[in-house]
Amino acid sequence: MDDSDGEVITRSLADPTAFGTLFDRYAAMLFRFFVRRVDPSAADGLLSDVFRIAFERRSTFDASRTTARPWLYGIATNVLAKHRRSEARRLRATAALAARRAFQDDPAERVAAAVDARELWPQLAEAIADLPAAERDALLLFAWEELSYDEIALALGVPVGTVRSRLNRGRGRLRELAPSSGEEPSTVSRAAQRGDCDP
Amino acid sequence: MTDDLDPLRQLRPDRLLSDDPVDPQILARERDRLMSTITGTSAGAANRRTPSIYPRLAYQDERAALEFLTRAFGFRERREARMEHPTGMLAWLEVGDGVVMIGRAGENLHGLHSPQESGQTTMMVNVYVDNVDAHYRKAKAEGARIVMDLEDMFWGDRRYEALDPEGHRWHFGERLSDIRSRGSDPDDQHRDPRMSELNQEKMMSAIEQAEPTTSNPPSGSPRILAHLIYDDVGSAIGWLTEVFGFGERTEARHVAGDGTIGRTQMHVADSLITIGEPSIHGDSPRRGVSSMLYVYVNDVGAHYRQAQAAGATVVTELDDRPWGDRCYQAIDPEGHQWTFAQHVRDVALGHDH
Repeated sequence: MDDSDGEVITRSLADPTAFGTLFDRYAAMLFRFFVRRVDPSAADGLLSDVFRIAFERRSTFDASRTTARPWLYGIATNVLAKHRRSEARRLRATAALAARRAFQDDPAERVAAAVDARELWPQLAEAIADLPAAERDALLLFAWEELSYDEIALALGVPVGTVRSRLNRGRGRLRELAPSSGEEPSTVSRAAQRGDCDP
Repeated sequence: MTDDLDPLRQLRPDRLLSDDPVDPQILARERDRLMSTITGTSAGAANRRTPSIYPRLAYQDERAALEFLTRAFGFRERREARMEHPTGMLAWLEVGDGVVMIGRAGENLHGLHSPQESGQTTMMVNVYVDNVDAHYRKAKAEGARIVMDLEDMFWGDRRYEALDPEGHRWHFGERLSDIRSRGSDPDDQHRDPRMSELNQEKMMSAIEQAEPTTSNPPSGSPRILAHLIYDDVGSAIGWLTEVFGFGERTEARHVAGDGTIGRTQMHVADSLITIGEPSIHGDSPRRGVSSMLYVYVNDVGAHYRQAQAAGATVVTELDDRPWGDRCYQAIDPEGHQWTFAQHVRDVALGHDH
């Protein structure tokens, strides 16, 4: 029977090398997280940062918790904060790829739909990039990392109600992008007016 | 789950591209790094797994340079080694086991100048990479100025040269024998159509003679090889031998028709540099030097005494430094900067440099 993460971290207070177990459990997961969010060539450096910070702060981890997954995602999200430009670049590049693919995959009779898709992806990327960081972080932890509301709340250190409202705002903006709405430019400008309201 | 977040879910990069498993080598390396941080053995981080010799390059904007070098050339920063000063930042970048250091340019910072100010480079950095074709495409796409296109060369390397934003010159290469053993032919489109049959023949014999399992970089060569420019290579060989105790690899010497030495290789501690005449690769430091070489020797005290006795111009006296090295700095007759160091004690992480 494997020790829980809480037990491993408690043990690492007396025996620091025990912390390696936490790396073995979560390094691949966090590496993927970074590869999704920023230039993949930066991922190993960021991974290194997360575990150094986690190690230094291990005494603050609530050892009664069985899993360190949300805690590590929280540190990883903080580490990303200095890489917002890289994040936006990555989103745009991914959207361009998705758009190209949609265009190629669609049969001739669906060209109109493909053109829609070609426009939708870049708009989606811009909308995500323009979200306040706190909303984008919550939204992507939910949609890409598949964390629950409770886990996101733990990761970001906010009440569950705040997670819910951030996700709702994020969803609302994406809904405005639906091709029928035709109001995409206003979505972007509204996001811009709003500004980044991070603490 | 189907809802209004589906488009966002589809935008997850690994849903669009095949999801390669995380490279176990990266994880193993990062685990080692973490464990050495934890056990405190990474102290003196800048020196850990540092080659005997590594170059330092000067930039007016060292942060922009750091961003460019990691993005375009794929270097990885040793984040734990970074030093922040009021006068700028020092960063160590690695590729394989090769290390290059970057810092801010300035008269009071070892007199190192960005090529942007002085209009010349005095050193070229040669780097062996593991897939030079992919490296070239990435660097080009990221906006590096390509000054020599990717070509197969008769000495058995495939190489290209690029300038970084401030004009430092970088030479990236890979052994052709490694490219072949990797099972991928160099792209034909990048083959030099002007390459003479003679050169092709030489190249083929270089490939044939190579061991089938040669390693990149070639045996005996460091991953990062500094190339220093001297007006008078012959005199430089004599001076470097006499004053700094280097040794020439005479078999690497190229002599011109008029008997002058064009270029050669020098053993430095247990590493290697090349030196050569002014060319498109760089110039003698008449208008300011763009780099400094940091050299680890086994007994820096003895090295210092020998260099001083032989007439070296010492610009910084031998002393213990906060990062755990005992070192001194000297300039050679044409103005190249050298630091000779010995690592004497480990310094805890987080030490205030």
